[in-house]
Amino acid sequence: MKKSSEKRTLRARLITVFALTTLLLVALDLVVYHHTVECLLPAFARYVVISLLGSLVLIGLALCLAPVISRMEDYYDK
Amino acid sequence: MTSNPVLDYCLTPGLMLILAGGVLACARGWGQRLIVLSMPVVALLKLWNYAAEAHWSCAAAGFNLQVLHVTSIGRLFASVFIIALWLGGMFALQSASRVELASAFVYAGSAISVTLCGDLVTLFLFWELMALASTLVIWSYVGGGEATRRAGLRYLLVHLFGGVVLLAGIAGMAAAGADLSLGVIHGDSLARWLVLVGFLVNAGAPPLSFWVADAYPAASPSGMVFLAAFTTKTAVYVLISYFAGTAVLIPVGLYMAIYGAVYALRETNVRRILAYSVVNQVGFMVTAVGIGTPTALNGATAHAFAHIMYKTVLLMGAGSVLLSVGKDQAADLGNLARRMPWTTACVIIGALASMGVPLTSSFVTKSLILQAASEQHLLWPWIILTVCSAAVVFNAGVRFPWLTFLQPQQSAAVEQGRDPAVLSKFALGAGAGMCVALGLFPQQLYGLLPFGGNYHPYTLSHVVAQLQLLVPAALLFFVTLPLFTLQPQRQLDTDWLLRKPLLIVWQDFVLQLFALGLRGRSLSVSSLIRGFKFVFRHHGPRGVLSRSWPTGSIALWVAILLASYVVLFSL
Repeated sequence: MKKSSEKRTLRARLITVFALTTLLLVALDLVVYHHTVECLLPAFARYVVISLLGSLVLIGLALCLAPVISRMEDYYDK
Repeated sequence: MTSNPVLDYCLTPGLMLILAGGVLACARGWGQRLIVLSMPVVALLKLWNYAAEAHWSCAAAGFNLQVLHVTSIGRLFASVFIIALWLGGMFALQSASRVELASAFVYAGSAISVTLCGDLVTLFLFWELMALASTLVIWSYVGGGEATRRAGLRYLLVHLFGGVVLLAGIAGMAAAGADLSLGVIHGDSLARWLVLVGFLVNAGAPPLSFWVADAYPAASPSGMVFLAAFTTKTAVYVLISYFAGTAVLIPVGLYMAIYGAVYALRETNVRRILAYSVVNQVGFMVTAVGIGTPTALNGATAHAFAHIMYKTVLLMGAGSVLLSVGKDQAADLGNLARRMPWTTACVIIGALASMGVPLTSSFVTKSLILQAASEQHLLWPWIILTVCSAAVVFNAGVRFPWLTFLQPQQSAAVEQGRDPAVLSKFALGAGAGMCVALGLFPQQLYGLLPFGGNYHPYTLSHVVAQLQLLVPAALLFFVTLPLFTLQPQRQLDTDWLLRKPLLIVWQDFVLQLFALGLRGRSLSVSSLIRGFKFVFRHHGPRGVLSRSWPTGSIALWVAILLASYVVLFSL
């Protein structure tokens, strides 16, 4: 129980810190201009969008592939 | 004072370390420590003592073997290999066997010789020595048992296959009269493609990417430090030297970058997470080689240097945990930061370097690769590499230190966690220091790069962009953490084809056919023997038909025949 609450607390703190930092970094794009490849993505917060969308795609891919590729550790020993 | 040309040129840094490996096989105690700590330093001094473009060749078996051909790329790769060997050797002294240390030196010496040789034939000789020595590094881990033996065998088979393909390519080129000396191979011949495939096998390219995560974590805690430093990076070096600008390498590298990121996401063995991270980062370098511009090749070289440094630190950290706790599954670890503060601090520096956080090594190296993609207006490669830069958070960047050192304690085994011995702590600290030094003084590294260039990584735009990539990814990592189980799992890969269907085919068909053949052969042999015995019984020296009859017996039979005739006639 203690372990679970400790885990939740630390995670919750880290999530709060990273969420606030992300917002701050997005706000910085109001004053910082990036030279990047021209694409359809908006110039404002482009890297944040790429990071979030790209990471979500990779997480989704990993979760979708799980039933196909994940097995018990001793799979090959059976 | 005149220099001795034999010592100056014949005894290259690579050969020197191979010889040191031979001596290490017999040395122990202070002698062993002296060799492990001093020989890499001597080799590094010797390497930088060579003039630019220094070369030396010898004739053997009709080939002109260019054993030494110093180039700026080769010297940089050789330097980082020597530093990795020095740090890894220092770390290994605590726990490694004599066989492991000796094999590691031969392995490193071969890898260095590959980066310093000037033709494909010499390269092949050291390439194969590297495969054999690295297999010995895996097999020397006695604690791994049968699993290590099998993983080492699979590793050897993959590398022998790659070696055969490479040899076929080199032979094809030689037969066609092509130039085998160092330089980009042009044309579209089959032999050229075979050489490329042979190199890509060692890089961990698809469809054989599996061997990295299969074999590396099967090695000892120190063995994996050596393995992660040399094989894949030697492949990157030869790709830069012989296949720069080969467009097909762009999709291959992008696949590797995505593969490493996705597979590491569900992995629960912390050393295997780092192995997938190796494939992920080598993917960046292979893509850069495919792009082939001076900035891209500088980026591949610089990133290989940075990657070897931070991965050495991370693997020494994982090795320290395995040595003290005896576990490498996330379900058995956690909360080691308090018990292993030095290791944790060094690993966190290595992890920050792996993500490319400003003031660390990857920030100043990976950006060159992304810049090269951007300069060439390669939109999709740029987007995929940018996403994969952010995704480092999900493997070596945050996931590995979190699962190992920072998450709540998962088992009682963690109580045994202790920082390693002084020498190992020094190795960890020196590696972490290098990661920071490269980030703080990038111009020193840029000055050594093969194609020059004027790069300024510390612009406000770049710093903000990098943080904009990493922080949201870290946020997403912690938000989605409950979606990923800690239960030990194995990720199926293309090796499944070898280890399941092909094994079934082998056991149920091929072996059955062999057994049937053997049964048929034994049946025919036994029939032949029975037939021979029958003939022998009747026609042999004692057989009825070839027996020598005595005269009295013949007279008796004649009398019986005559008597029978008389009786029959009188009837």
